[in-house]
Amino acid sequence: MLKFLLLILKNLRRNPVRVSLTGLAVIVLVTIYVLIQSVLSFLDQQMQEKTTNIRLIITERFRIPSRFQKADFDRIVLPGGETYARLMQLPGYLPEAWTLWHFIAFSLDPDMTRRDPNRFFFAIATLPEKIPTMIEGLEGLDPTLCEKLKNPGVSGMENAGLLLGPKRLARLGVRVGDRIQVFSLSHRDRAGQMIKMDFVVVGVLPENTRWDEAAFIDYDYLERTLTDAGSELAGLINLGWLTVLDQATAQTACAIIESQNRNIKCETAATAVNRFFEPLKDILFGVRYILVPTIIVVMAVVVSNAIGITVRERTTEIAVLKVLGFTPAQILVLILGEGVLIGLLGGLLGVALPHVLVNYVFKGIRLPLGFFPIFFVPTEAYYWGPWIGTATALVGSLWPAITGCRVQVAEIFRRVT
Amino acid sequence: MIPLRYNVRNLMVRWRVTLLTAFGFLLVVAILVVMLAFVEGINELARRAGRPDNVIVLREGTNDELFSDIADTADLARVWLNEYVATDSAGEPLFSPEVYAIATQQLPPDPRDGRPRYRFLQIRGVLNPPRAAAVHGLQLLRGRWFSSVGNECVMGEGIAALLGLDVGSSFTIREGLTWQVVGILDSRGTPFDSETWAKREVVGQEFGKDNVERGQRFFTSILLRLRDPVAVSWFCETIKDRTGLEVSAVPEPKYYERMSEANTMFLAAALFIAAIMAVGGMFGLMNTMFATVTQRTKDIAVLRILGYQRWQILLSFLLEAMLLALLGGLAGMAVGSMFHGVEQKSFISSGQGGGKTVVFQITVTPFVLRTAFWFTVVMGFLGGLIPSWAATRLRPLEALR
Repeated sequence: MLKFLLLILKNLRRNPVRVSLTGLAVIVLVTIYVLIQSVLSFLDQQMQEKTTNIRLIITERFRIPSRFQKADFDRIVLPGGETYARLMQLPGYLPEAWTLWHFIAFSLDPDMTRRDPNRFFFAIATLPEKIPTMIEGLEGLDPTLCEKLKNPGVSGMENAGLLLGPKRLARLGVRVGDRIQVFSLSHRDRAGQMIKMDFVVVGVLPENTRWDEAAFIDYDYLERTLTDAGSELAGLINLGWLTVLDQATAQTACAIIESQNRNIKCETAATAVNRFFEPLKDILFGVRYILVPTIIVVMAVVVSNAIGITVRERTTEIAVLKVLGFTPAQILVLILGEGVLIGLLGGLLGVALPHVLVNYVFKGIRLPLGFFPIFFVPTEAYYWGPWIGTATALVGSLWPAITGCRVQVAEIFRRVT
Repeated sequence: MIPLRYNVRNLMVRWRVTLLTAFGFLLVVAILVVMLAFVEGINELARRAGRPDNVIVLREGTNDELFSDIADTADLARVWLNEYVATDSAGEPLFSPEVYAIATQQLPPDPRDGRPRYRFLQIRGVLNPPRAAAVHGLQLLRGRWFSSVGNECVMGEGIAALLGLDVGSSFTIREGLTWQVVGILDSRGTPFDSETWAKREVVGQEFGKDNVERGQRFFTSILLRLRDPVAVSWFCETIKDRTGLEVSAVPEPKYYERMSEANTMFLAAALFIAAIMAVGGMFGLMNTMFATVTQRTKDIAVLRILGYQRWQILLSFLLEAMLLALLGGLAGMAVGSMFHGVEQKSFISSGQGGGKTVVFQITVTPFVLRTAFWFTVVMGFLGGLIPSWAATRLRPLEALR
């Protein structure tokens, strides 16, 4: 076995240019495969129903954007309501695992004619204390940072904290500690005018998450402001979130919630993401079943070509090996081994390269798809890359290897003069 | 000059390597053509979407009619009652105040778990359907316009086909709201192909655009046809000052152009993927050409002894590499072009979180073919350059020995 490996390595060292070029081709093709697969596998994860800790999303049933009364949501999550009482009887129901979102768009600039995209931001008004437990990707966020949304430490600015994603902070050109005045783009007061709000930037969200461009504010502050301004959006929320332990609880909880209020719908986050991606299904299908296989075929063709040339150049040598007693199977293994080794090493490097570049140098692939603005190369890619490199190289080398082991000794030596 | 026939014959003699290398190029270029044609399809849709003399009025600060709401007050008529708005043959101004909404339609429960299922529907409420269609430049393909009584609607041809509906069918959006389809819009190739049009009152009230409690009604957009296309920019820039309303206006083509801006992301991704794949293909070509040079060291030596210069050898091998690339590239362009006209569904968005589902066709334009051609040429050139240069470094006598 070791002898075979040494022989394969020696053979590879005989033509470093060809081996390097083939290896480079495998590296770049595995790299692009890993990048695409990273995006697809992340979306698959989001669209696949989980078995534990299932997130439920509650929205207005018939309209986009969803808006419904917070009072309806309170009946689900706060003691006193019939829905709450029925949910509490479910074994997998987690009574503390809930939060709510109200979206609002702001501009730093009251003059809308300037339309500077760096002066806009979308904020999620939510319950600060629930951020570290109820927002995917922000688990483990420092609770004191969330507390600052309620108490920014500036007198007269209770609940007026603003947490910004690092990219959004940079775009807006503000710093932690700054006090800013913003104007609502999506919400109007009773006279139809923009609503002014003051905030203190209390912190920055972690880097390299999909919340890079996000902003969080305290729901209580928004609600108070909207009520004072006489906005028709006061008392409304866009989404409610629950987490339950298992699928059975999820199904029952949704049925209870919907039966109690016909105007809201409850579904797992995976179902909602699936529906959102429905218009992109054609693109995702094309990427998954046309683009990815093409990359693999191109890789196989490049390897096949390189190994094929090698075999054709070494027919005499193969004939000599046969004369020396090598069986066709051993010759097959020798030739396949060259391809497989190139595929394996190329595959490994083809993962390491995007993993380091994307995750540590470029800080993510910025491809805004719905709610997912940024993607990273997962560590699982270290399984896919070498596997796809090796498997493709094996398939690509197969025909040249079969040709090589079928070399007729007499035929070859008749030509040697 | 070394005759090109010499290179062609060499390619034919080593036909297996030639075909395999060309096949690699074929795949890379075909994928490039399809990806670019996909982006071009959406761009083409956006380009054809609006009339240059049409203007969309939105609430100030919004880019997407989904998020716009313009209160219907007495002052609002200032938007269309002016000398800049075109009139029809009856002297009526060509304008259409509309409500655009995305509804969630409840479908029959999933047979596997009995849970309700939903899908998104794009709905436009219009006041006067024939006039709205005239301003949008649409006509009925079959059926009639909905009347002012009853829950009737007309549908884009694409969405009707997708839902399996036609004139006479009815569908339920939710309990208590069933619409009868009375007409099908001739909307292929437009963003309205995936829309259902119904009465403004019904859409405004049922889909949360109107405030029923306060008795307020809202429009999400007002589409106007201007008399003078030259005045469109001026009209848009001055609408707020002239009307005194919190509104902004944008030329209709620009509105859809903005909506398709997300495509630049797809375009960039397509080019990036194609470029990386091309690098892989290029390494394959280099392999082939290096092998060619190695196999033909004696040929090269003879050519040098016959008096051919180093640059002529370089040119000959470079041409051979480019010929090989072109063989695959042109075949790839042909294969990619076979996807022309294939119908696709996608999403266009202004980036504010809204957007529209659109049905469009993959469109292979001259731009796509030009890009693919030059892409092939550059790949062939770069892939052939180093092996060709290596060929010129051979010493004739040593090579012959």
